[in-house]
Amino acid sequence: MNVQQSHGQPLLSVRDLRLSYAADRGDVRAVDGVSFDLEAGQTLAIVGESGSGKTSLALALLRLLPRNTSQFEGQITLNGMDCMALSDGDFRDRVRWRQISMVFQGATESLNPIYKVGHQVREVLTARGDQSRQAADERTRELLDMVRLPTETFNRYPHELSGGMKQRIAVASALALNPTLILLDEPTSALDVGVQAQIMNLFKRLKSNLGVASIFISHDIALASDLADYIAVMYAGRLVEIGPSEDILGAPSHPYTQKLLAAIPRLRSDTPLEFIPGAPPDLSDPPTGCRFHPRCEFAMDRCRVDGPREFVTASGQSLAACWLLDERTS
Amino acid sequence: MALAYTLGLRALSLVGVVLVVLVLVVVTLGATGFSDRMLTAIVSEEMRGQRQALAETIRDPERLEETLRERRIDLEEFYGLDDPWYTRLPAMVGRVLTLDLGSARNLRSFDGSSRVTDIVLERVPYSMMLVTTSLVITAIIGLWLGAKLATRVGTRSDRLTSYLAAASNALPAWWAGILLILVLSFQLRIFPSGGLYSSPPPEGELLRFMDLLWHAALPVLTLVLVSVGAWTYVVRTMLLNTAQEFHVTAARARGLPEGQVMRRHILRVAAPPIATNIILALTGSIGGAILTETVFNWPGMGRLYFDAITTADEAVIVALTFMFTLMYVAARFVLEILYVVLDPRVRYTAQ
Repeated sequence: MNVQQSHGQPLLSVRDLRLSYAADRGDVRAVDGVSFDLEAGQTLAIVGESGSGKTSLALALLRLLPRNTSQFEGQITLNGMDCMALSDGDFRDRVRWRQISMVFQGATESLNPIYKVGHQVREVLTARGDQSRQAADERTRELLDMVRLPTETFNRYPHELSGGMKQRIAVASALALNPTLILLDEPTSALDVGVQAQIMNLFKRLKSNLGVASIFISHDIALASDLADYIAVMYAGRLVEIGPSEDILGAPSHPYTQKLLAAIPRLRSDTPLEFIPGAPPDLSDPPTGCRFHPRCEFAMDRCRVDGPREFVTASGQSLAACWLLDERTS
Repeated sequence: MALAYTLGLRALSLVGVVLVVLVLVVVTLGATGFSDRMLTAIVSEEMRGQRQALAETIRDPERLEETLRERRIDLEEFYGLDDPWYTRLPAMVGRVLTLDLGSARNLRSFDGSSRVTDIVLERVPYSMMLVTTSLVITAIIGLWLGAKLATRVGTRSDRLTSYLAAASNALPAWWAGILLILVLSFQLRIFPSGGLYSSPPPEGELLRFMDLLWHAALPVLTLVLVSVGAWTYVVRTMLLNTAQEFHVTAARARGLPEGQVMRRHILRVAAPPIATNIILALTGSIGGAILTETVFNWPGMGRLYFDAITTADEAVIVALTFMFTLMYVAARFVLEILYVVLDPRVRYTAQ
């Protein structure tokens, strides 16, 4: 799926990306033919339920493949460079963290418990031998300041910091090498609401100050809308709808997107919240045709047989993979 | 401050451990009657010999009985049987606690001294030569192989090594020792079958030492064979546990070289439990290896303990138990400090 957002060369271009894991019950197709473009400095939110393949997509972009990976193919072009053609070593040295960095969901789990957090940020700068200890120290303090942490945090251990502070450290580390793209994988899900707001504000400030592009992965479409220029909705390993945030939020075309939006609580609303009946499909044995059809109230006969093409939506700005749009246009 | 307080508390409880172990020794030797029974048997055995010897020089039966009675009283005094166990053994413990290990009743050092300190000091180097050497070899192989396997879990070499590790762990030391003697000593005649030196020992310091090493080779090989499997497997599992922690994936995500991930983010994090194993094993190695030392006729600490028990040499048993417990306790205390150094999460709070 692909929306031409501008005529220039995109920062990141993903085509037909596939990532499967070997499991006892057969291959689990976590990412199953995902395509999208991302412009420099823009934020793309990828929303979807748990198990829809959002995190696998992020791991695939960083080539952090679990040991049981059985299929990994497609095209990933970053700044005009064909990432899939790089060897593992080249990818690690040239792309990982230099160009694409990541903030993980669990701030606590992503930090090594036995090193001072300052040293863990500094390690990124000195590991490849490109910076001296002093220069790296200097830069680390600068990064701590950037994420609004006091300088003395440098000498703290992870267990001495709160969840929000640890996530700030993770952000500082992600920014260390001035990447062009940051993957934010549910970066606020483990935090309570007040801290969540602080971290979201931090992301917004970094976005406008540094101009770094990001992919914001979340199950919370309302939260994602706070930051995203574009929203992609993921279901069962595939993108079902992608487009500008206002368009997706204001005029969702895919029934799944509509259901997701209807499930957001509103203040003083008398209408009960909607929910999506059924459960996300088993990715080792996905439904035939459109993967959403067993849960879709508009499902037609062809939905059960044919996987839908993508169609330009009524607004002309988004793409959605749903046969309903074919009905409308014809 | 809090740290000193807690370490002090630990030290105190470890001293408690020493005392409890010594009480247990007194109870097992004394209250069960083991010591009295063994000593009475030894006295009776000696009396039988004396009666035969005296019967040839003393013809008068009454004088003979009189002399024998006197001899028996002397012997019972020598073996401490004139005092009940609950005064005899605690006195021994009390003396040992003042670091006076006392004298052995029957056991002697090679040059005839009966001081327990002399006997022990003479044997410790031999035990260390065998057990500590093999432990160091085992630990190095185990760490190296375990780390290798942890990076290739599930491969054929990993599975093969896991089977071999289980086999090595199941191998009894005495059986492996006998097998090695059969093959390498009797069949192929590469190594001697036991003892410290050839007879006659070669002339010259260096040659003598080489001869000793040659004699140590088979027992060391035996000990390595039976323990390297468990070590490898334990190291592999510990590293694997750490390698599966998420911060390791995060470290890889940051593009750190694989060697650095292994060193700083896996090995270093898994270091505390591995250090525990190494330090406790090193301490234990000074205590010797009873079975292997017996099979190879090697006069180490294990053999000494064994001989002390079979001859009911209470002074030696109590002294050795005290020594080993003290070493264990000291090692534990070193570990307490090491943990604070190795893992910043180990926080000591005075409560």
